[in-house]
Amino acid sequence: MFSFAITPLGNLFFGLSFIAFLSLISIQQKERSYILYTLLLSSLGVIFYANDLITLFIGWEIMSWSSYFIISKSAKLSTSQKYIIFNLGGGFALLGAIVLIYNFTGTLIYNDIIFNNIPIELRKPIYILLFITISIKSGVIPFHYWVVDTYQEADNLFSAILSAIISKSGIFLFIIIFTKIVGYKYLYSNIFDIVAWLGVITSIVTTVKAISEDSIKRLLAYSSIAQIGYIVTILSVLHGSSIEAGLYHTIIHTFVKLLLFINIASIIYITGKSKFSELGGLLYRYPILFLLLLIGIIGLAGVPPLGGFNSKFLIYTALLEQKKVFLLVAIMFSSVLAFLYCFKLIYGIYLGDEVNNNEYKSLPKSYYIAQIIGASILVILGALPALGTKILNPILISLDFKPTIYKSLFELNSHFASFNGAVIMGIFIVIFMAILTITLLVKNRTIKPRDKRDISYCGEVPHTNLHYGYGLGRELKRIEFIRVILENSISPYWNRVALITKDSSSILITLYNLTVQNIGLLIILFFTILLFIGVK
Amino acid sequence: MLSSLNQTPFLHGVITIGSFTILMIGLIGVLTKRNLFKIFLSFAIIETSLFLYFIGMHFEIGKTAPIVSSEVKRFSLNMTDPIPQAMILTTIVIGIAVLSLGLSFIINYFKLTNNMRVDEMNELGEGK
Amino acid sequence: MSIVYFVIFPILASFLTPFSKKYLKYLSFGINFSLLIYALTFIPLKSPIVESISLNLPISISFILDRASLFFIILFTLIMTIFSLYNIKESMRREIFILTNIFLASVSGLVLSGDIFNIYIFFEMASITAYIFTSLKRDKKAYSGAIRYMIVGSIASIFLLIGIMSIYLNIGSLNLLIIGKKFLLLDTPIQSLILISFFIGFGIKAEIFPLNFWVVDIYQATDNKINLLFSSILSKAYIFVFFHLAYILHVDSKILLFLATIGVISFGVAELSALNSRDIKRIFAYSTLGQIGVIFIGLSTIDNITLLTGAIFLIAVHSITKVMLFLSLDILEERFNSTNIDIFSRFSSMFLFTIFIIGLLSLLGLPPFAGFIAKLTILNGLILDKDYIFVVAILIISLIEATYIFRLLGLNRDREKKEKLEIDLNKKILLSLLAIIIIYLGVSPQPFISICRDVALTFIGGVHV
Repeated sequence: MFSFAITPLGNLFFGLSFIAFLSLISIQQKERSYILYTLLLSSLGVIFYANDLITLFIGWEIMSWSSYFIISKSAKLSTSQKYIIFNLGGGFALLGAIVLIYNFTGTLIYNDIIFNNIPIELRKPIYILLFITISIKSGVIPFHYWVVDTYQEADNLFSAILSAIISKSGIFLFIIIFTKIVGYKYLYSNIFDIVAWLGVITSIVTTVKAISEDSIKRLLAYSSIAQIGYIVTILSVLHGSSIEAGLYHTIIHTFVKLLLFINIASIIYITGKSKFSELGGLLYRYPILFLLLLIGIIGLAGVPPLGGFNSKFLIYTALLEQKKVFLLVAIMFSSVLAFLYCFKLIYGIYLGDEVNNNEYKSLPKSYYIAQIIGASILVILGALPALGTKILNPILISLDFKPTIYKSLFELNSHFASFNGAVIMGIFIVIFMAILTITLLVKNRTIKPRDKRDISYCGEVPHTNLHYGYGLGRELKRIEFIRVILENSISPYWNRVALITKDSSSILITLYNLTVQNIGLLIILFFTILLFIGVK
Repeated sequence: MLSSLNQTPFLHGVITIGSFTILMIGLIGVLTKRNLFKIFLSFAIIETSLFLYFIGMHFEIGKTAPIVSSEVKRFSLNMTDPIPQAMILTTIVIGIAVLSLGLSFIINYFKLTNNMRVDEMNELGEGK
Repeated sequence: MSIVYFVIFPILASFLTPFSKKYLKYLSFGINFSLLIYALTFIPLKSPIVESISLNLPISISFILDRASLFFIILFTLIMTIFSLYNIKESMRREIFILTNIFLASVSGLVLSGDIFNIYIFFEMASITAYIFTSLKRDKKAYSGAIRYMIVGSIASIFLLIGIMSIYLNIGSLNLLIIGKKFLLLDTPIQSLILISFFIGFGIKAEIFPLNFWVVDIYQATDNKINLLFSSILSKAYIFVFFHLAYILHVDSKILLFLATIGVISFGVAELSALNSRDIKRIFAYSTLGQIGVIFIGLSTIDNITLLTGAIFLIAVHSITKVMLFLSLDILEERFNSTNIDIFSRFSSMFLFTIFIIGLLSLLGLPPFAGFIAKLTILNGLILDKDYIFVVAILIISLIEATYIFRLLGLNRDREKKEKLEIDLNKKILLSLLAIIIIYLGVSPQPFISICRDVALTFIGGVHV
């Protein structure tokens, strides 16, 4: 019944999860259930190495409920409920699709499924069911309701796994189903355009929401949804180069989010605070953490010289290649907006005024491991961008796409352009060094004010935190488009669904509280009705 | 004219109408009476009506009881069908067993709650 | 080797009660276990065994054992064995010994009977034991529940009697074989009268939608250990009889569609109602009703073997799961003396919590537990029949089911304010055995699926004419 196959794609995803888990497990934590973590990791292994759909589904559901038990330890009941219901809903949609596929093709093993056997009128429902699953896992727009609360309330370290690994299983499913099983050749359906646009809209909306967010973890959650939105979009373009771009971005995003979430987890561990308004000025206390966060943010923003730029470059060129100009513009817009929250992350926590806080816990060394792994991979990929291509080529071959040709590890090629990562990195380092030396030279000659507030506020010291990152995004509301996004939210709609269910439940429950005579009456009424119909 | 009344179809008609009336009486009793005793009594009435109907429909004028004795050695066509009667005997026994069990429940329930009305039986339900 | 022993042996054994006061628990285990072994010896069964008592065919009492009824007998005796094993360290009243014996005899009789009047007799026997079971606690709730149960049960038996009488008046026989042959020759109104009376009579007992509003109260009134018998044995026996008769009477596809629809509604209504319930016993009762709805969907077919296989699988799995859940709940109730869902946040026991996780997730149909295989097979069968609406309905309702199941499980997370729970070794062994069965059936279902397939084939074949 169960069959497994070791594929390059599975290796990549499982490798990523294995690194993430190892680096997190090394951090000591009280009350961690190792059984559940093991179960979760092995379910991920089952998903990534499965060779038939039912094995994949089994792994999928085990992943859902084992992560539920981990989340429910720290989250509120309603949040963890949200998590499990959405994810099980996705799982059930997947189950529906699997059963449909099985009935028409007679097999569930990836390579044996001949998708052409499925009648055309049933293909669209299958696509829709699969997209529901994928969207729920990766938080595409109508289904992103569960993501933010869950990321916020889950254990700080577990949020990293949620964002870095578990959300990627949706991406994995996308690739495995639509390339391996269905085959991109058959796929030209307008659903994919819709999904591509949904992905972009998701990323724009969540980016805007992230900018005005005060809680650090919520900001990262929104950013995570936005980044996965890019991946969904680029995968929906349905082309070999877009797969490469999507996978490249998956790798980058995994390490970026691992780095950022653990960085935030360390800040929360040290200070016990998790809001921008309560933090600030930690640069001089924790310069290494600052540096790591800086690397992470450069990766997140997708600017040279770090690895984040490579995947953005591939995404843009892949979109250009397919002549999806509007999508390209939308993604660029969203990326530019993303700079704002990146800036907020670094300014709100490390720069600005230091908020008085006497209780700093000392940070265990193990917190640095995962961050250093992430940061070094970003740096290495920045200098050797084609290393990613080298890793991804076997996957592309195994999925029947053309591998990308690269001349050297330093040079990243795409359909239109190429760039040399090492050169950029070299230039950057030179400039960085120059500025650093100038700063160090000048530093001793400048006169520091006693207290920055003396000058800024004319002696009138405000009680609130006034550093630059804190209020960021507040004034953006004046822009009509952003105001609309910020003031609207999906949650009322889902809450209404929940309310309707609850109300109908309380109506129905009265049936089971009837007196016995009324029950008898109902039975006899039912009998007469049936008799009436039956005799006719 | 009177002899036509002494025919099987007429008898069956009378039995059908009569037992249907009794059935209705019982049914109304079950559904409208609030006293637990009366409800169980109504069940007994319903069962009686069913017994009457079943036995009556298998009785035909001119046939004898299906009893094998020293004189009548074996079943003959002149006897009524013995199966319904055997069935009904069994059913009566079961009915009495259920009824007596029910009555004992009611008595015990009454001892505990001082309540005999079916619409005031509110021990069970959500949140109790 | 006679199949009548399944009925007679437990009844006769009840007479041992006065002679063996101290050893009743062991005796009970002995009876159930020997019956289980006895049933297992029938497994190489090829063709059905028919046994008649006295008299010739039109007026005989006949028992029929085919693969379908054997499957149910094994299931019932297995559960009774588990039940008596669980009770082996508890203090047990003498009544329970007699009642369980008669109960086992009557459900075996229901499954084995080859004529409709015998089914009625066993129906009443099972009902009477169930009434007494309900009243066993001897408090207000128990008697109130027993009276309710009795009123509804009497209505059911009246409808059943009407059906049986109409059959005898029009066909002139009580034997299922003959009824099956002659039923289609009857007029349509009489046919529908008979079908509807049977539907109401057995439907009430099989706990199907518009006829099941009484069930939850009864479960609430009754002890957990007894609920286990109701949920895993009694309702299953009635479902067997219900569909046994349906197949014998050659119901047409319209009626089957009606039954399947009623199954879906039953599932939906029960699971929706469970959302707002705050009593674990009632929640389990609702979930039993829901699962019975799914079983109805699965059994409402005469040609789709996949669907039937799934339903049979679900019957077995649901029985085992509910045994496990009710036994675990019994441990909890004994400790906290309440069944409000709050008790779920008050106990601290890794073992019991794991058992609850396995049981509830299997109920929900999540892998890698046995419930998943059942659900998968049923969905598969439904798609074979192109009943897409049913598939969508089952998936959505399962989501509603997930809501209350995970709410229940999520309650047990705070480490504070919890009491450590000590569990007897024999209970631990028993529960973990059941859990292992559930996981095993979930991970390697193939052998059991082929058994279920076999059973399903025999089941729709009816009483091998």
